[in-house]
Amino acid sequence: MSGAHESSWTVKVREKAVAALPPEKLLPDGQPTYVASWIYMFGVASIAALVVIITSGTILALKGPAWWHYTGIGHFFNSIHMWAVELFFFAMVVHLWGKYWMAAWRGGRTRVWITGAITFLVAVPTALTGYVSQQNFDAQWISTQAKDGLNSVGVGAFFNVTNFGQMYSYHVLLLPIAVVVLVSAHVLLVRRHGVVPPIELKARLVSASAGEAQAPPTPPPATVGAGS
Amino acid sequence: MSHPAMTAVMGAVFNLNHPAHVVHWHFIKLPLANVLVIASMLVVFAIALFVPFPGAARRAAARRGGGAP
Amino acid sequence: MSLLHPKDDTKPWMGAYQPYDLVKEACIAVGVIALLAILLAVLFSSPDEKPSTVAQWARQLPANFVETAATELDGTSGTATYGPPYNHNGEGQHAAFIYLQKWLGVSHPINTADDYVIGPLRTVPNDPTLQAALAEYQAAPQKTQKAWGEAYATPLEEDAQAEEEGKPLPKTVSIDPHTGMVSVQATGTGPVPVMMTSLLSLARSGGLDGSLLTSKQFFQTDYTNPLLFMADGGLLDQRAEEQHLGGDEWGMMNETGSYPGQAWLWLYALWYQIEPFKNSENADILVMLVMGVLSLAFISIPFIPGVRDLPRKIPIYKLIWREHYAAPASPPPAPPRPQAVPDPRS
Repeated sequence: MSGAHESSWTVKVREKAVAALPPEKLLPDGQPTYVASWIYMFGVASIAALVVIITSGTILALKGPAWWHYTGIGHFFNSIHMWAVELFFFAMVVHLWGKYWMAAWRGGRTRVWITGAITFLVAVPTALTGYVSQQNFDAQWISTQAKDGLNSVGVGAFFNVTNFGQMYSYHVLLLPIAVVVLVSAHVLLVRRHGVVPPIELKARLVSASAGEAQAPPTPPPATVGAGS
Repeated sequence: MSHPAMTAVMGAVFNLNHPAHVVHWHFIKLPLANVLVIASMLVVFAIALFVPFPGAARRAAARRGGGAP
Repeated sequence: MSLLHPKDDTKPWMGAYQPYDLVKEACIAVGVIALLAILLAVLFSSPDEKPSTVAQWARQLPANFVETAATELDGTSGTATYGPPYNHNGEGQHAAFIYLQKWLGVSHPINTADDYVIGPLRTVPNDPTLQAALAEYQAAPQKTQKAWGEAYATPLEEDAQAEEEGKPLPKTVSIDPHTGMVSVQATGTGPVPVMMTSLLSLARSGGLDGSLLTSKQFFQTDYTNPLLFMADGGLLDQRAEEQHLGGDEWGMMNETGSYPGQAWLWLYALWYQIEPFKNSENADILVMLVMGVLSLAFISIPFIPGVRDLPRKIPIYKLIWREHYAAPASPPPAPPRPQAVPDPRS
């Protein structure tokens, strides 16, 4: 086994993954003391809403797209799905506002910002494909209107909002996979880089540098940045 | 308009199946529900910024103790 | 330091850590959000306005149906003149020299005369008068077909316009109150009145809904044909206006009834309310391009000078980290944490 070890792709992938995200970084049990605001709750709230969306959506998918129109329980799960979507965008937008005003891309966290922004932008067509898959008047209206915007930029040539079969496939499979992959990348990057430290005030920087001159710098512990 | 039986089937406490009340302000025309959602976001954001986060004593102890738990 | 990489004095955190249960927090969050979603579902439910059908359209607005059908036949309807991706009868929208709609081509061909009128009428059995009218229409030169269509459609259009403007209706269009059939007084209409009367009958029976959907294959999930036909007419517009879903009312953000809709589309909807987009024939592509640029800018905020510096200038961060700032400035250095990574080879 040791002879093939150096060329093993499995070993290379595993070592890279563990180096980037050792277990205590992936699932930390501590977070920096500056994580002390309710604004940090909106990232996990967004993920929680996404879990509720996917769970209720799975039940709707199991029963097929017509179920919710003719049973009370089906309509109830559709309602949960709809309100979870409202909560998802609500939490995501408040999370985005918080992260912007924290300038959370600092300290090498540009990719965290980028994956988050792209997640929001992909969530919008994910919702749109859901709206046009409802098979009711709302779906008729939204699809006949949205087609004009999409056709004007040529996207309508291969993404037809009036084609229920295509839109349902995008909504139930393709776009949720994209959202989950993006959210996972976003969260793993936060785990890797840690939650962004506070913007340091000038007065604190001056007094900190006076204190630092006395003690040699020590490397930071395994970054147990957490929260969101 | 929706079928009367649907209201019974849905069993909602509040029936929102009537045309929306539209809020007009200059060139902005939005249904009340959307205005409430957007206003709630701003209010919740402000609340999140101002309301103290629990665990201050634990954090102060961590700072005094210094370092990772 | 460069434009793309600003001065960034953010150092890795070397200060204190507090205990934190990530898995418990995630479970609590899922529980809270699930309960909130269930509560909202119980309190407010969700909307489900039944869809319109071509049959309903033909019964509720017969004159509008026949007027629309006539324009589909003579190639002057919205769909007939749309251009790509449905046909080559228009160039579509453009922004300066950018003709994306035209460049991406016709991927979903629709011939409105054949697909919406002649094709469905051919399926009507045991009607020699209709089949003779169809034969006469198809044998005629294009110029004659157009003249017949226009002669038939003009009184209908004048009637519709008079109704919209609240003026007295011209007496050239009448609807039988018992049968719902439309009569148009006009000359030089050729076989068009017979065709339109038959199409209205077929539509009222529900046969046209099925014909438009399954004309090419039995199993079908593509509703483009019936939807575009209905969108050319007035029923969907009428229902949308009742529900405040029109574009001039920020409609793309809205939901039927009094439910919240897609509030996150506010910026996309905003452009349609202001010039130069509001009255432009190319409003859609212009708005999409603006939103495309803004979306790229949103993703690229960390690289945009000014925008990336605003958080420092408007110090909302002082509220978020006020406890940290109130604490002593230089926390003692943390002892190195023993690396507990297991040997992957064991």
